[in-house]
Amino acid sequence: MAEEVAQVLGSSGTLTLLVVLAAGLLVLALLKLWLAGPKGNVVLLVGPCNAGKTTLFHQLAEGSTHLGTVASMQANEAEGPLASEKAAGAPAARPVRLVDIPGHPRVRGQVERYAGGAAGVVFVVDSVDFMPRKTEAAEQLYEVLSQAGLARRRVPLLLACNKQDQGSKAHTLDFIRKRLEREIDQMRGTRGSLGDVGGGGGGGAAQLGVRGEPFTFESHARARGVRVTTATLSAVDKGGVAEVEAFIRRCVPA
Amino acid sequence: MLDHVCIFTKGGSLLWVLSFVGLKGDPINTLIRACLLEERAGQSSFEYIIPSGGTYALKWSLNNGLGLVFVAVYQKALKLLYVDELLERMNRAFAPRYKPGCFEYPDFDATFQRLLKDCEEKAEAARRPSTQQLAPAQVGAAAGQQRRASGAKTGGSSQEGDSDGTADGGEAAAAAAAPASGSDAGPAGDSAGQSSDDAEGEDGAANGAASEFVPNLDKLKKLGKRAGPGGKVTRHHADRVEEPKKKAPAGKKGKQARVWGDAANGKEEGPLDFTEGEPGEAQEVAADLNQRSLIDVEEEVTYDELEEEEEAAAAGAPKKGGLLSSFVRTIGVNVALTRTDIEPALATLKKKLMERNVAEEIADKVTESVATSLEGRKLASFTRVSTAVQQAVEEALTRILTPKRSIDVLREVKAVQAKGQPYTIVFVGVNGVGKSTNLAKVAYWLLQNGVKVMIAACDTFRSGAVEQLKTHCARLQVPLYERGYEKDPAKVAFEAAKAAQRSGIDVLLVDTAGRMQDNEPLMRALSNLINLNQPDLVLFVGEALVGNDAVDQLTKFNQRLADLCPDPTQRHLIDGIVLTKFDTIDDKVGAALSMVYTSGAPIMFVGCGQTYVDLKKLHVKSVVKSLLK
Repeated sequence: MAEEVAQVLGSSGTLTLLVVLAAGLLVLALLKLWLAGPKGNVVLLVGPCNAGKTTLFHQLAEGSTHLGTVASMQANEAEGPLASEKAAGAPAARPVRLVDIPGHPRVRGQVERYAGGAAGVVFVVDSVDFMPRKTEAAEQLYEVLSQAGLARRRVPLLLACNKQDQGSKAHTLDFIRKRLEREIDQMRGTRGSLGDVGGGGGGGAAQLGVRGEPFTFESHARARGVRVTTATLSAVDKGGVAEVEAFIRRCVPA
Repeated sequence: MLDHVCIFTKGGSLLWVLSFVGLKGDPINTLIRACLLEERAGQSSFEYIIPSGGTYALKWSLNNGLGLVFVAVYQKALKLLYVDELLERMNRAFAPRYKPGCFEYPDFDATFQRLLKDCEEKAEAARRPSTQQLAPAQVGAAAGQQRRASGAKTGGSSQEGDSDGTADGGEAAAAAAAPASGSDAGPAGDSAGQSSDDAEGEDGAANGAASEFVPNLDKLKKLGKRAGPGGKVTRHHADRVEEPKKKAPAGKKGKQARVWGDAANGKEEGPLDFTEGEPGEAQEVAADLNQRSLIDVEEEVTYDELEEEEEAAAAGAPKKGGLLSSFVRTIGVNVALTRTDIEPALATLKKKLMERNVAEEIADKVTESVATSLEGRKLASFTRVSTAVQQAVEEALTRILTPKRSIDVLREVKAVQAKGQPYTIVFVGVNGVGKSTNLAKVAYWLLQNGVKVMIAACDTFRSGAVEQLKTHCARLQVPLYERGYEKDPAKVAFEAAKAAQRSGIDVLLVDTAGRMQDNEPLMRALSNLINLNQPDLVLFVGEALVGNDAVDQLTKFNQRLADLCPDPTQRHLIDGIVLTKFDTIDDKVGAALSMVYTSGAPIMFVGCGQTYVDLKKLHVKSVVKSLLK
C-alpha cells in the first residue's frame, strides 16, 4: 500500500500537477487580497481650518451638533454605528471608527498615524470661503493624496464641499473640483520630489496622476487606483450628510 | 465685567457657554490658533484686537486630565482681578460633573453664577480696607500710627519694626517704610498696594513739605558738588585729547592726506590698484548649472539607534526623585501628574535644550508651556514620568518647527508670474551672516527650475559688496542691477523692480547691507526700503551659530518693521528665515528653535556650505531628534 502511494507520488506527472495546483491557489489568494481593497474600519475626516470637520463628526457620530464648535487642538475619535443608522433602528451594522483630525497646520501631521487602518478619507472643504483659501486646501489635498500609506492601499477619497446650505454664496461642486485639480497640477511641477517638511512621509511620497498629462482626479484614479469622488454636504442639517454616510458605508461595508 | 465665558474640549466641542455681551470678531479661535497651539500656553493672558476697534483680554485655564479648556473674555481696559481665581474654581467645580459623551450641562449655570458672585465679592473686599486707609487724620504722629496700623493689617512684622525705629528719623525714613509695606501688600492685591502709596503721598504732602524736602536738598547739593569735579574731568579730558592731535601732525609731516572720492583723480588709480597683470585677464568661469542644488535632492535620513541612550538617561532621572515614589508612580493606574512630579524631568530637559544652543528664555518658555499642558494629565500605567515628559516635549518641538504657512516659493513665483510682475525677495539680517552667499545659492536653485532671475545690489555701503555680486552674476549668467556705492538703497530697489518688469524677469532678489538690530537710523532705512517696495517675501538671514542673541535680533527687526510703517494695514513683517552655516554646528541646532519661536516665521532655506549647491530645506524630525539627544 505504502509503496503504491509512493509510486503515485513519485511519478513526475502528479508532482507537476500538485505544484501547478498550489501555484494556482496561491495566485488566487494573492488576487483576492490585492483586489479586496483596504481593510479596517477607520474613516478620516481631514481638511483645512474652519471647514466644518468637527461639526460633521458630531453630526455623524451623535446626530446633533450640540452647542457648536471651536478650533480643534486634538483629534476626535468615535467608534460605533452611524447616528442615522442607530435612529433608523439598525444597530447591528458594523461599527465605524471616525477620526476628526484638526486642520491647523501645526497639528495636521497626524494622518500618517491612522493611515494603516484607514478604509476611507473624507476631505471637507468650505464652499463659501473657498477662493481665498484654495491654495491652502489644495496643498493639504496634495499631502493627503501623496501620503505613502494611503496611496499604497488605494484608500478612496471623498471631496465633500461643506456649507452648501448657504445657497448662492456657496460655490458649486464642479467649480471647486476644477480649481483644486488645477492647483494640484501646478504643485506637481513645483514640489517635485521634495519630502514633507512636516516630518512625515519624508521619502517615498506617492506620485499623482499621470506624468505629462494635466492632473485630474479621473486620471489619478486610472493611473493609481485611488477613486476620488465629490459630494455636497451641509453638516449643520441632519439630512445634509446623506452622501457622506453613503460613502462611509461603501468603504466600511455593514 | 466679563463678556463671555465658555468651556470646550481640546477636540473642539463646546460644552457650556455663557455670553453676557455678544462677541465681536473671533477671539476664541484666534486664542487657540495663535497661543495655545503655538506653545505659548504658559502666558498669563492673551490680547485680541477687534477689527472694528477695541481690545479683548482673554484668560484661560486648562484641565489636562480631562482635556478641557476654560476661557473667559473681557474688555482689556477693565483690568479685572478675579478672573484667574474664577477660572480655577470653575475648573474644580466642573471636573466632577464632566461626562465624556455628554454635551449639555444646564445645571452648571447656577453654580457659575454663585462662583462669580463669590469672586466679585472677594475682589470688592480686597479693595475695601484700602479705602479705610485714605480717610483719617493727616498730622505727623497720627499719620505714622495709621501707617503702622496699615502695615500691621497687610502683615509683616518687619514693617512695624521699621516704622518704630524711624519714628524720630523724620519723614524720609517713614516714606521708605511705606513703600515697603506697599510692596508687601502684594497678596492683598494691586489695589491695596496702590492705595497705601496714595496714603503715603497724601500724608507726606500734608505733613509739612519743608521737613520732607530737607534731606532731598542735601542730596541735590551733593550731586551739584559732584558735577564740579565731573566738569573738571571733562575739561581735563578735552585737554588731553587735544594734545595727541597736536603731536601727531608734528611727528609725521611727510604723510599726505588721502583723498577719497569717485572723482576721476588720475593719480589715485595707480598706487591703489595692486592687481598683477591686466584687468581683463581675470578669468570669469561660468558656474556649472548641471549640478543639482541639494534642495531638490532627496536625502536619506537615518536616525541613530537612540533607544539605548534614552533608556539610560531616563533611568538616571527617577533615582533623584526617590525610588519608591517613582516606583509607585509607574505601577499606579490613572494617577494624575502634579507639578512636583514633572519638575525634575523638565529641569533636565531645559538644561539639555540649552546645551544645544537654544536661547535661555526660549527654553524656559517652551518648558513652561509643556508643564502647563502636562499638569493633571493621567499617565497610562507602566509609563515613567520622564518618558511622558519627553514625549510631550518632542510633540511640542515638532509643532513649533512645523511651518504654518506654505514654504513653496516656486508655486508663489508662478502665481505672481501670471500677473506679469516680478516676485521680489529681500534678504535682511545682521552683519556677516551670509546674505550675499545664500542669495547666490537661491538664485542658482531658481535658475535650475527654469525661473528668470535678476539680482539688485542694494548693499551700497560695504566695500566690495557690488563687486561680489558682479562676480556671482557673471558666473550664474544673471543680470545685475547696481548703481554703485553711496546711493539710497530704497531707490535702487525701486528702480530695479521697474527694470525687472520691463525685462520680463520672474524673480528679483534684493541684497541689503548688514545692520545691527539696535542701530536706529539703519533700521529706519531698512523699513523705508521695505515700505517703498512692498516685496513679496522678506527673508531674515540668521546664522546657526548665534546663541541668545537670536531672540533679540528677531524681536527688534520685527518691531522696527512694524513700528516704522506709516500705514498699519500695510505692515510687512519677516515672512521667513534662512538659517545659514548649518554645516558648522554638529548637533547644536538650537538656534533654529529660538528663531522660529520668537518670530513665528518658518525656516525656508538652510545653508549648509559655501558652494552654490549647498542649499537645503529643514528636516523637522532630525532637528527635533538632535535637540533631544
